[in-house]
Amino acid sequence: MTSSRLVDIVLTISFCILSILAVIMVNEFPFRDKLFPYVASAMIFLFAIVSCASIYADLRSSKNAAQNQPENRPSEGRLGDGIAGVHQDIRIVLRLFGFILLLVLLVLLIGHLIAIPLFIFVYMKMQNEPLWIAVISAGGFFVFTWTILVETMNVAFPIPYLVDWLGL
Amino acid sequence: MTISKICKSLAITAFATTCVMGWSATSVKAADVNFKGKTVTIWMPSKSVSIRLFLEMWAEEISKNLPGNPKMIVKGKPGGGGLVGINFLYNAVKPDGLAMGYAATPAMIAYATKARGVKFDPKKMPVLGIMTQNWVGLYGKAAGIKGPFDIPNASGEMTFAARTKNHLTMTATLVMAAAGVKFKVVEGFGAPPTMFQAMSSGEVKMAYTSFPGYSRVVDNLNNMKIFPWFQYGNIDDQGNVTRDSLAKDVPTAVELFEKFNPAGIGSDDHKAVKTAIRIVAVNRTFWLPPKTDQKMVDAWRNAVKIASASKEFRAKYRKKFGAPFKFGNWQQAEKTIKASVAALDTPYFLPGGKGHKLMFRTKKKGGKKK
Amino acid sequence: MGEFAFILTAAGAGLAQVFTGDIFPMMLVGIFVGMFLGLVPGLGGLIGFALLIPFSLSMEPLVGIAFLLAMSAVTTQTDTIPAVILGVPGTAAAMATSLDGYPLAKKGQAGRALCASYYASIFGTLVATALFLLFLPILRAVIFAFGQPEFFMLVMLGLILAGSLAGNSLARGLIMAGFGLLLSTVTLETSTGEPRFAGDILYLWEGVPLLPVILGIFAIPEVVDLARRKVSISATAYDTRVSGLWWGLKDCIRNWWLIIKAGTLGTVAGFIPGLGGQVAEWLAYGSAVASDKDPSSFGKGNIRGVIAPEAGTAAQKPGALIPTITFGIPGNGGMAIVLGVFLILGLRPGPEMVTTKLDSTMMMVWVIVVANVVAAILALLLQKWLVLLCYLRSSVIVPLVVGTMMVGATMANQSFGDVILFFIFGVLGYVFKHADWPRVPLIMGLIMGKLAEQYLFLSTNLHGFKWLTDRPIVWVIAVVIVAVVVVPAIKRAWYSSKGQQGFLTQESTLSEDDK
Repeated sequence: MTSSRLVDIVLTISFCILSILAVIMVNEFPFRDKLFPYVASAMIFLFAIVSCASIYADLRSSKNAAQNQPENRPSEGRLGDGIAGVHQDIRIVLRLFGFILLLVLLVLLIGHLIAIPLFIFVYMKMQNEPLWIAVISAGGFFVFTWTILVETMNVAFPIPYLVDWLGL
Repeated sequence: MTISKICKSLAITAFATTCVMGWSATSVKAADVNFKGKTVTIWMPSKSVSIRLFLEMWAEEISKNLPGNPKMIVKGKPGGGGLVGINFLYNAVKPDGLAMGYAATPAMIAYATKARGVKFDPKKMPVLGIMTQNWVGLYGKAAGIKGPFDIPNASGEMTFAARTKNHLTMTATLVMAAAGVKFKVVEGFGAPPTMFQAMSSGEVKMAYTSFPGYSRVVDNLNNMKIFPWFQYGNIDDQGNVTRDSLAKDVPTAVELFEKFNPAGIGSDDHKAVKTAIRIVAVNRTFWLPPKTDQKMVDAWRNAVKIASASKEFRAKYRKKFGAPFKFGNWQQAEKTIKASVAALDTPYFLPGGKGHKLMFRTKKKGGKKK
Repeated sequence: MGEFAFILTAAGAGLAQVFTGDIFPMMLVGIFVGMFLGLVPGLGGLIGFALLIPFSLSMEPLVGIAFLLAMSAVTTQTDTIPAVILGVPGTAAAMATSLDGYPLAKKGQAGRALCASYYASIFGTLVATALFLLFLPILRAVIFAFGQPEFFMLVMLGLILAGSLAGNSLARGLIMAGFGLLLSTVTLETSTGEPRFAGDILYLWEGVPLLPVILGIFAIPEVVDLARRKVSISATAYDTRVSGLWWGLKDCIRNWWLIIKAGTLGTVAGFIPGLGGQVAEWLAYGSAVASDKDPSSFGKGNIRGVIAPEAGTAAQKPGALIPTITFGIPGNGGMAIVLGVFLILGLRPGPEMVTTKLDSTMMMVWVIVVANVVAAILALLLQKWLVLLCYLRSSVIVPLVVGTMMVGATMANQSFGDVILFFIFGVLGYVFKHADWPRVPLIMGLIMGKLAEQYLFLSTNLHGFKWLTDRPIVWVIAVVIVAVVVVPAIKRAWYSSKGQQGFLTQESTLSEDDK
């Protein structure tokens, strides 16, 4: 079984479970409030069954056929590597998501205005970009956010948790 | 850049940030109430553009009457049916006089009915004033009536478009019952224009809208053969209901009830129609965070009172929003809220009562208690 | 004849008004502001619009209206830029464009795609203007012929189109559409007042916000892949023909009939209140796919996949203006805000807007057209620099895109919940992309779900189940929906009988660049 198929099966089963859970959770609501979740869940469940049947048929046909099946359903686009490609680069992918998660946590702690320019600066430096590019990018981002969004458009960014905890 | 260097930069940045934030958030000391050089935030628990425009206009006027004439900005804090904003004002905003906010009717009803998600207590918040609003019931061509007093002659079932059950649907239901007309509330509509569209295409016969929403487009509605059949009107402390000066031809719901069912005057249903006017009077209540110093509160109340009474401001409001600016100062606000909460605390409106079923949403089977 | 002469005279007077000393300069300001808002994902559409409205109120009514309309008209032009260059639709109205626009950028044809989109927008608005003039006398009948059942069917048509056109597998597309619909049911506004699927999370009580979901699900996968492979967006070397100025124009001229079709569909979708830009975009895209000799080329960089949705979305704007100002019934969410501002500025919607004040109405329609032309010219001037973004190193573009998208996502509710949701859907989006589960139907389901639920419930509440049998327009739309689902399945069965593909996967068709 290819990694694409495995992911397909996991996703299909997850959606099936989700649709069943959704039906259970709205069961106590009156008709008006459960009609549409029922419709959406039925749609997911029905096509998940169809998808399962399709996967099963494909697995059987690939088992029966003696010819080589592609290892992986290729992704569209230039990278074109699908799940197998991601699997090869899994550490890099996880590290990248780790960076983004760290950015999210920083934003929660110290706010958008500081965390994001900091992230931009640190990321670029870690990728060995020249200092001036990193400084201009981070600084430019801060200036844009502050002048346009905060000062001109009065956008209310949420209060960071650190400021809240410190009672400032 | 090494990890340790990054951590060091982070720590320095965090420290610097907290210093900067601390410096910029210097509050106004109560001993010398003076907002000079300060920025005041008005928190808006809605994404509505018209409300933002009104608040900005009003804030400009208030600022003229606050000592030091601070800069006023309006910021959005939407979500949770208005609860996010008022909860935020109650729990998170510092009581330094540099912020105020408001709660709309749904949030106050949520409080009064001890609904989920309520994390504020108006009893602990200094009130600044209350904005009231009139509402209008409308009928379309499909209703087949010649005017409000022709309702008892209507044939067939009257369908009434609504977003959800509320005081308006309750009022309409009671008046129709008094007229002896079959009536059905059709919940699930969006904003009033969607109701107008449905009325014009004949799918529903009746609907409602706010008074400003009606008065600005009355010609257009008439062209679509949509006309008013009731208004809430104004209620005084003695319980007398009068028609709004801008809609003298439109009978109040109370008038219609009394006309269709004179024997029902004084009944619980009759009282409920009057109660609905009190409830709708709590359109928007304006508050300061709890524990705001009394001198600050007094300064605010004074500024709000003067700003709201300003003829120039009222004229500007009337021109922009098509309806008079109806505002009660803080004493009136306290009275109105008290009267509304008391009115809801009767068997008619408590769970199991007729009014409760007509006005509030029904609990789901086995659902959590409110 | 007399009536047409009157209409044409009013049209001329309206056009002349656009170029007066009061209106034209403020229109230009509105264009600049709108272009900027559309460029930055998260700022375009309703949010930036609502925040800038106060500026319009200090102007004379017609000037203020021209400013607002110009601003609103061009956001759907410039939101194409991140859609093509980054694969991140600036607003939901650019999703279909990104399906073919981004692959074109990867082939080094970003300039061509962008230019084609600008011209298509201009031509689309011209088609809408012409249709408005032609069908003015019967407008009212058209708008009020539709009821809740018809709205429901149209919304479902848009959804099914997105589900079937935006991926390799119909089943997976429809599962994702269903998932989007399910997400849209998260709300506090139930008949019991109890939150549905949201528990005590106040952030979710007004529903799952669209913006963090769109930005997370499209932006994060793209930047992670760029960072992973340390490549720039474009695979090809820098080309001096990068501007695509004449190439894009030739593409539009060659596909003139498609533009007329897409423009017509967009205008009609705009006329019908409450449908929004998304249905227009997908109807137009669907018509391009259906009429193409090689449907399998869509999703891989077919220029018609850029032209059609852009023309449709642009035409929808003048279309939506009409019910807004003639009946006070907003054609879409943006028009609801515009209507509110109209009323504050003293403009009164009503029949006189298409009779005695038709010249003012035509001025507004022309503002949209002229704004698109001016925005296209400005965008073309900046083209070279915009397209260079495709050649930037990933180490520069990745953190800037992530930062911008995160700020954009926070515009939804100005809450940390937006940031968290942005990340969660970023992770999901990455899995979906590489597993070949199309993301577009999920977004469409999320957008259209609330409307679909409202219309479905009202249809049954008002008409019982008779609406399924008693209404001819419902049948017509139902037939189209069935055709959209069944015809490709028949085609696939036919192809598979010739031994060319597996069961229920389309033969290399309509593959989204969403992998």
